[in-house]
Amino acid sequence: MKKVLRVRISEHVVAKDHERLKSYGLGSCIGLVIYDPQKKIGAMAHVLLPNAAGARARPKSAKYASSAVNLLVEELARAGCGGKTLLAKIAGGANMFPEKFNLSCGGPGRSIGERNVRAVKAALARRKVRLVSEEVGGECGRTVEFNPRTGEMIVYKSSGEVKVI
Amino acid sequence: MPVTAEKLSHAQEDALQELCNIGMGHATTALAQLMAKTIYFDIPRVSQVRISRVPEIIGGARQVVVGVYLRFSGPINGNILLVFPKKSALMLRQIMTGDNSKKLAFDEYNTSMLKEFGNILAGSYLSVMEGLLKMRLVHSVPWFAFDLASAIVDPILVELGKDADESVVIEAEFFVRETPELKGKFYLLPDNRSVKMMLEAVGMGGAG
Repeated sequence: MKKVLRVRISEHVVAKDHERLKSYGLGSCIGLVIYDPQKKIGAMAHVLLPNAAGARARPKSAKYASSAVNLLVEELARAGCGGKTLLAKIAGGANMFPEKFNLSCGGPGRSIGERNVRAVKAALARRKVRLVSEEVGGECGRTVEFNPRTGEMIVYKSSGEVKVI
Repeated sequence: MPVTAEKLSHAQEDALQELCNIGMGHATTALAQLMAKTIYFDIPRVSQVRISRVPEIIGGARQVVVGVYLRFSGPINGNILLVFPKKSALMLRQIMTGDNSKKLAFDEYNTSMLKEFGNILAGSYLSVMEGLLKMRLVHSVPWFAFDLASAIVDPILVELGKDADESVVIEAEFFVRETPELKGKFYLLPDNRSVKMMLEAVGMGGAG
């Protein structure tokens, strides 16, 4: 029997064997997975913001892109997964209110979703974790499910489309 | 460190509820004139929850809904979100335009109508707040989305999450009695610091 572990905003969860990791209704948030394909252990974070604003930030939180990557790498190391074999997959980072961000409508030009995607990618590069696949951007909400045994991430888009990355 | 909001006392929750009650009363009257139908609303609910729980309050990821979102700013800042079930959003068009076609797509005409509904509701709600709180408030243009409720609420959580891990959610359901399918929900999510200012403005600051 598979067991689904839910990952809410700003949370992170580690899973193995028959466990699945699931984040519901990602808009501009990112469902970030880092996993060890040999040990078949994976961890998911539900990232809300690209980075912490100033000194108010809590450093160890899955809320922010960079701290989420660090947190997942450390959690996986604790679970016995080596740094070099780790792979990453990401989904989300959509622009839910296109008019709010478009330059033509007086927006900042780059949506929070795009900024989240960039920040997660930069953080992965810093920790030398290879990003193997992604399903990001657009204007569509997503629910994601990750299977640590197969390394597959199922992306259910609100349009009805289902993708396996 | 993020601002850890003080737990609201019952009296403070009641004050926020009453503010919403007055605002919604005014706003639904304005909408009733537009729609030529009486709009009712349920007693508002005030909750103080972790940001990670807000998507579930708004409706989660079970189905796609229509969301109309506005930011307001001034001495206090925050977010107003209207959420309509898809069917209600389409009925609204029928009622406001007399168009009975069953077409379910949200074209430009439809979305601007829903945005205008949000504009009127938010505008009249905020004008009441201005009077009660004795301050000037401005609001953004309304933004439209048709997606999972929990995805729609993300941009609001981004605003709230910048300096807090908790949020106050003030919600009220509105409906047309003779057309029960026509309903929606109003959400007011003030920025963390603004909750305190709202309470102080009505003499409910401090420890309550």
